[in-house]
Amino acid sequence: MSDTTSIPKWMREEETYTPAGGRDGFLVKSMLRLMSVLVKMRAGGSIGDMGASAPVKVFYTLYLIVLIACSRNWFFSLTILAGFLVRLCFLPSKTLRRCFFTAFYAALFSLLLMVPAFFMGSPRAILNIFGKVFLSVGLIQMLSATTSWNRITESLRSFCVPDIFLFTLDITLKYIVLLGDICLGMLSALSLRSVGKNRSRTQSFAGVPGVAFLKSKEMGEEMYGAMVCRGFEGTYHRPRHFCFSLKRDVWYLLLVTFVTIWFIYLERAIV
Amino acid sequence: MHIPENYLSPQTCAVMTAAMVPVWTHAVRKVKAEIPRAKMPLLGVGAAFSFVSMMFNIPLPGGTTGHAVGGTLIALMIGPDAACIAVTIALLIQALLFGDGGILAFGANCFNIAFVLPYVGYGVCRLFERAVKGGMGRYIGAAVGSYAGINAAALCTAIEFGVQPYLFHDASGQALYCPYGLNVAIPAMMVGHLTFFGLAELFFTVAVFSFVARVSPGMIREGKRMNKRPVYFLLAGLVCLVPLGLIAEGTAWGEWGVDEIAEVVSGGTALGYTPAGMADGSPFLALLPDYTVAGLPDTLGYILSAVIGAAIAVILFRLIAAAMKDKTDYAGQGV
Repeated sequence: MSDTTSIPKWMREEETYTPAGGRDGFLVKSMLRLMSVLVKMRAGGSIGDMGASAPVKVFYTLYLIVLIACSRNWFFSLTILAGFLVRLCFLPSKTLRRCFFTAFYAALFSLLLMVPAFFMGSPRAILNIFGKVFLSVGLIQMLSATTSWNRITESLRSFCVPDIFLFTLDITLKYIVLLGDICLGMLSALSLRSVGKNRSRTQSFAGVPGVAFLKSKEMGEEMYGAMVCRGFEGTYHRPRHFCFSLKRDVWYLLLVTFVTIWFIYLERAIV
Repeated sequence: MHIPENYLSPQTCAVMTAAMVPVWTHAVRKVKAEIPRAKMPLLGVGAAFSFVSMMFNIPLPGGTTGHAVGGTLIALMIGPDAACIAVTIALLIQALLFGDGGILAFGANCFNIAFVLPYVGYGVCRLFERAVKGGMGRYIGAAVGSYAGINAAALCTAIEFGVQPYLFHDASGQALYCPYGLNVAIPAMMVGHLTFFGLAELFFTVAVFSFVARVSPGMIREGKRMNKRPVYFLLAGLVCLVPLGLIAEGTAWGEWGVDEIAEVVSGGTALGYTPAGMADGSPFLALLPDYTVAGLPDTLGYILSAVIGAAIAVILFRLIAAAMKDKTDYAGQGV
């Protein structure tokens, strides 16, 4: 018996197949967009923020937004802007970019809406609204960058937000990630199977949202079954483990106190 | 040293801006090619230092004021091209948000403060570094370079002011823009800068440069340890001290308001009129004019302006760094 094994001829031949170039820009773009959303959803809250608890941060952010909206003194918004910009300086580059540009584009949109004010003789109002929108959106962005989604929904329960609202928010956020994963898998499969020109690629691509819809229906039914099995009636209980810690939340407490005093002082200054 | 709005004719402003275009193009190209992405935030720190240093007004006998710029310091830390861009950004923030320096005169201000100052300062420093061997050569170079840089910039500013009455005047001979000729503008600008303001720039440059060289040598030399935290603390300390700039109550030479220029006394006589170009010029409404807020203490307005200006400078360069692509040397060593 011979020890040697010969390689078949077809394996020794050089591969000359060159697939015809196909257009898959839309496929790659869709995948990248989906991935970026999933990364954002998963990375939310990964940045430390003086270790403060989520309810305190949520309260501080909402309180600040209300004060900014109510403030009639331009100097108050500027003070908050100064603090916000300093905090931005110390964020990681990607988070800084996200926070800044989201807030900036929102403020720019409000600027466009406020353009008539310029011709009606209130140019200051444009700047005022621009600043307030920039700060409000920026603060929300910063909250989402420093606090994970589930912690935010959990802390909203502490503020007596209705259960149905929390339930919808919670399920939406979770299923965006789950369905996003499914869509990404389907798009990857489509991309891998489409070598060269594939005329049915567009058709298959259009089927992705349809499959995602069917999957969501299926998952919704499964979730309902799981809820029934576990006796869940849609009631969210207050987080038991949350307790206010002076050591952990002292900075935010000081900030709330300072901001309140500053707000009152400035509002009185303009009367 | 900031030239306000309507002190230079629109023609002069256009020429100065046109002169700056190739400088900016060259600086941007060099920075893109030479400064790695990780070092880009240093430009922001440099711009923030420059912005804050320009808020420390120094009073002089006679009621005039001036300030340091820190252009040579940035040039020594990250190179003259990067310094040109950093100081340009600092000047832009000052002009747009705080009304310090005119919008039309932005090109002229950049020519003097962002181009002449850092390049002359850097060049003189390198000459002295070569001439004086040893560790002290660098410090002596920084001192002489910063002094030479700010005086060169002041001389350019004085010439730009001084040529206005010769080139732009009405039929009766009254100046349309800056009313003081070269015989007045050059001595008036240079006396302050050759003495107090030049020394202030020298002191600021050497002090900050030696501090950075000690705590974070990587910011100055490649391959050394870089620690940004002490530098940020220094910046925060300077921001807290900016109200010291309010001690100087007078107006810097060549930065008078339209309402006060007619009463400015030069050579024993008051000017007696407001140049037509200044009186008819459109004022630019800045967000925080003169770094203050009406109805509130100047100290608070000053600190707030410093925080906002410095933070914007840092954020801007961090955003640029985030948008830059990493350079990969595929032809380099190692696989």
